[in-house]
Amino acid sequence: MDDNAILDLYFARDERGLTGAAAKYGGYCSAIAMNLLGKVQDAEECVNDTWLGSWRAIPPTRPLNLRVYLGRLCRNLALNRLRYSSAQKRGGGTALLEELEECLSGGQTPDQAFDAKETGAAISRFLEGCDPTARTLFLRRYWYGESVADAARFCGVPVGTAKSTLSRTRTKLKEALEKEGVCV
Amino acid sequence: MNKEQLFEAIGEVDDSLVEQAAVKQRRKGRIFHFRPAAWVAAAACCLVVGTAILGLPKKGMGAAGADTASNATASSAQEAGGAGPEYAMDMVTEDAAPGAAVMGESAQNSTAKLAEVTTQKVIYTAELEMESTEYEETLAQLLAKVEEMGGYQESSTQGGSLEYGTRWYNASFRIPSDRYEEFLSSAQGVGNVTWLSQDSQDVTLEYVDLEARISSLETQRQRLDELAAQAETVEDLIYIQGQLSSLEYQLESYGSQMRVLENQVSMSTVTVRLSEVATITPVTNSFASRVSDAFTRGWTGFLDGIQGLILGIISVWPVLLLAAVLVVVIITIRKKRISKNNK
Repeated sequence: MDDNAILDLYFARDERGLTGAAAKYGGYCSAIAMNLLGKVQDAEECVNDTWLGSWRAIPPTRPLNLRVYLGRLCRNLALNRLRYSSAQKRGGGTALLEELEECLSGGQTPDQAFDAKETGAAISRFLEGCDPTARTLFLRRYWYGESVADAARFCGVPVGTAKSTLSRTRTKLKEALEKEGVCV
Repeated sequence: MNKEQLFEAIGEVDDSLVEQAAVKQRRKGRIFHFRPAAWVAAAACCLVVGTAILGLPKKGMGAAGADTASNATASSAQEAGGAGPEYAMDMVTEDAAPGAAVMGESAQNSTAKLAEVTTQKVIYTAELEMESTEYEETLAQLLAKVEEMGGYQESSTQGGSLEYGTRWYNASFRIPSDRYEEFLSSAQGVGNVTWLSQDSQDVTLEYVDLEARISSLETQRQRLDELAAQAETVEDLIYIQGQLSSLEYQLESYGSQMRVLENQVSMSTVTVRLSEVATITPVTNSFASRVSDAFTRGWTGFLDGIQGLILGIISVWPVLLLAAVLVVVIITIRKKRISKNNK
């Protein structure tokens, strides 16, 4: 089903839009949720929340890229679960977050408000400056939540190479963020 | 910012970037990963196997340069004419009166005969140890030489292993004495002689002695025959016949002894031991030649070692096959377990 058709159905408040989205992007979102959460039930709940969330948000928003929008939504919902539930230790998400800790300089400024979109834009600029393999590896690990082994296989590099590339990318990201003044 | 916020921020990167990351990168050309160490190891193995296969096509699995015992050059032991064994003066009879007179005369005759003999009777024997890297060729040449000199092979034993390059051939040849020296020198040309022992035994005295006895016995026999013809009584005749038969027995004995001597003298005996080796024992003693020999031996030994290793590995191929199957099974099980865990 065409994305536009699905969105039209959403806008018409026709539930077939939901089923269409679920049919087309169900696997995609499930994969992301599983990567981050690890447990099947939690992943399923997360995906269901995604559909709910999308139903609420889509009119008025009309995402240009439905796929990425749904993925992002699912991802953030998974993050919430990770944040507020300590029982999520099994999924790959916690390890992932620990890795991301490296990108932070550790200084705490309680006053500085956190703007996800702006930071995201800064990260985008940084990623564009990276070489394609590093970029893909980074996103597959930290956006799609894949394990390092799966990401390495996806990119066709050995696991060791993938690990070192990711490490280097994280260091470079930290420098970039500091330069942009985003994280202190 | 904390890590969760960073994670969220990453979520907000451009859609296009996210989409790009969804496309599986197709690596052109490379099917497997390039691991330099593995390639170097593989190349080294091929090189080793290649040299081993090409290195020694004919040598088989010889031990590195089988050193034949000594480097000593020819030691000729010339033993001057040995004293012959004492022949019992086994004269015909002590008690026959008619015989005594006969004795006296024939003894005189034999001493006269002794003075006539001038040629020396010498038995030549030699022992030769040879080594060769071209075993079959050397052996063929050796046997041809024996025939050429008009000799023959008396006995031979051979054995050894073709696979390990340790064949050997022991033989004793009978060579006509006049070509004895010639044979020895040509044998040295055929293979590498590591040991030569020559011996000569002067049996002239024995020979002459035997000759003398035989002729004296012959004379006695003649006399006895004459006496037998003249004998008048039957008793005398019987007695004489008895003497004659024991005399003839003696003659036969001396005759065969002499024949043995003659055979030994006319055909000298050469015992040859030929061994197959991978490298020839060095002949010169210069440091340079020893250095080059050491290099050759090292190389030969190395190649043999590699060949041995390869053959050894191949010879346990059923075990290797089983091990390989086991490894594959274990890896498959582990992969299934990992993918099950990931689900």
